[in-house]
Amino acid sequence: MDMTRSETERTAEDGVLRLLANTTEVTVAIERLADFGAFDIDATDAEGLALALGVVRGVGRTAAPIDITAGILARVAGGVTGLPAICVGHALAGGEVSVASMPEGALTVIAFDDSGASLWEIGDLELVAKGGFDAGCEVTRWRPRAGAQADRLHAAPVAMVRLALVDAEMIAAAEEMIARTLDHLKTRMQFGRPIGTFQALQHRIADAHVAVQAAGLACDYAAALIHVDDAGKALAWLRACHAYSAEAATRAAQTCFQLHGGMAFTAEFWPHRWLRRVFRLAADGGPPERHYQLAARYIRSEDDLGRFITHSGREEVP
Amino acid sequence: MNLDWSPESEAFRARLVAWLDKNLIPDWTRRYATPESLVGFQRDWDRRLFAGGWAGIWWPKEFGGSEATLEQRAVYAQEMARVGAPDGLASFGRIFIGPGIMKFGTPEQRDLLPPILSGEAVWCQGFSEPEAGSDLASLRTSAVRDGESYRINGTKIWTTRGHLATHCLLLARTDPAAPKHKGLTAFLLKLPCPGLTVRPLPQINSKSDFNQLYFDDVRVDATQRLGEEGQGWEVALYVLGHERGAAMALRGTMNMEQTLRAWFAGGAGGPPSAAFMRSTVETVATRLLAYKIVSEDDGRSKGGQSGPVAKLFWTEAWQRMAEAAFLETGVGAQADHKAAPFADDIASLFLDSRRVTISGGTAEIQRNLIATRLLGLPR
Repeated sequence: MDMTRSETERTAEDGVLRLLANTTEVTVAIERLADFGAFDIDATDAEGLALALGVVRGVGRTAAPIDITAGILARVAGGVTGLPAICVGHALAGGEVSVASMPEGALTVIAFDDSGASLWEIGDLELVAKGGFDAGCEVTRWRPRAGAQADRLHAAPVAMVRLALVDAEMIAAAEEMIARTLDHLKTRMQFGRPIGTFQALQHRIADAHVAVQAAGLACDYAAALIHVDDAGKALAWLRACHAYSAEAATRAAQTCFQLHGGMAFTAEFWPHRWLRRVFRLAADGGPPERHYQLAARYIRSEDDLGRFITHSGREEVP
Repeated sequence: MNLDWSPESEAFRARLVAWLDKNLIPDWTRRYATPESLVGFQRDWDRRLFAGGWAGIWWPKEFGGSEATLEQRAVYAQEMARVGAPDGLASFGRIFIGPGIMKFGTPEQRDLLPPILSGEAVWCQGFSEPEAGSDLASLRTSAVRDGESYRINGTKIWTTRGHLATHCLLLARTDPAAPKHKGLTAFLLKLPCPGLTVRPLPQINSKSDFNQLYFDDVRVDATQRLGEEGQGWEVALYVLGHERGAAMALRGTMNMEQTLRAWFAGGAGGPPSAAFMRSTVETVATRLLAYKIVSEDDGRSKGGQSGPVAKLFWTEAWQRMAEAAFLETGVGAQADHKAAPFADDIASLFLDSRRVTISGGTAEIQRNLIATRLLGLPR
């Protein structure tokens, strides 16, 4: 029995951490990641997915101003559809489409909704809004032009990889926030003692640690199901896990932000960058309740419930 | 991530499952509904465990055990919980007190071990007091040396099976002047004994396992002292410190699965709610945390540092689940409620779940341990 991540994933995460250390320059970071091959990962097989997970975890730990997931997903979507210059987004209420970090020259968009995915030509979409909340991730909103229609397609493999990558980066960012907050609790003095001696703060950070640990294990498990278990269970698990880890990571991020006091509210200090990262990823594809509802579709009988909460027990998951 | 048990553990599991199939009646909680019949059934279960070689499997071979690894102990807990096996009356002796006697006992005191294993002796723990719960070291029950014996005065509470016990491991203060941890001594008492009154404490889950013990000039021979005077805290920490995080968490997953199934069955139909799905994730996360403890074992069965994390997580997760299940099933849960021991309706599971964040170290104590020992925060 081994609960650690694969060597591929750990090596990738450590490698990215080393690459991104001591730089806040986006172009430098992008160059280094490109040299590392981070933008060329084929995440459609188990080994490629492990590499991708390690890379996004490294990016999450540093809150680097790069949306690496968008790049990896574009490649996965291209592999699944056979289409070039494709990117991945979400369908919004009212028929609009959102895309995070749309690459230059994108020709098509896969927009996920509650019942599957639609394929849009960029020319059939009209830009409505463009903005950024989290550095390195520009979000655009598009409205279909009058008379434009999208094709429906089966893109569950892309949806699954997306959920796994989003959660890996989000949990890594939350873990990093906790680690930095622990340093702060040990050194920040108030009332003549380190603030980490106050039980109220000890309990809050302990809760954050436990929640993120549990969510992290669940995410590792969910990602491992992509290549070894039935696709229906895997997608349901990834959705439920995304909802759960979004709840855990956002609560942890709020706690860590709070425990830094007034300084956290300044733009020069680090907490807001990680807070933005965690919340941007948590909001991916809708609020947790929506992901739970989508996951719940898998459980229609007690047998389905049994399959959902037990491990098949015989495969070695990568 | 590899969630498979070792081949040795799977072989161990297969032997245990085969034995359980032959020896455990599936509906024992319904067949033995009265307190008297339940006690008789549990005594018989202790004897069966011993006869089958499953009592005290983690004990050293020299004392009749089979030196099961942490992984095997986790498998044992998982399978016992899966079939809803009873604890037996002698479980405290097997889990806590036996190992304490092995470590600190004299050769004569070690004669107490075979009856623990066979189930003839039922041990209880006299540790907590009304004024000494989480702060156990501040306990006040006194043991005053008087010739070749000690006089014990005071009271103990939350003594599981005190009303059925034949023996008691008692922690008492022998030196009021010493710093609180250093003035404690452990004793091995044979019950009943003159001066001792046992009062059962009825519980909200319709069971009556807990008791309050009143010691009024109870005499204990000096040969019944376990370890040296002043060594009581060391004995207590040893007895309580056996890594059970994985075993308890795996039992916890069974409680959670039971609650999930009752919740699903009691639902109004239609897709499960967000709260339900959250609970499914927490059930599996509990199992993964237990596996993490097993996989971190360095061979000394200490289980690493993940025990408090697992305990805090599953106990609060189960409570959240039971609360949500109760609120969602509402009137149905109340109409179905059976105020009986081992009842498995949602309202009963809700009540039963209240104790797990309190017993065996409260959730607040687990947070303190996580913050200081695991995360390194200063005290």
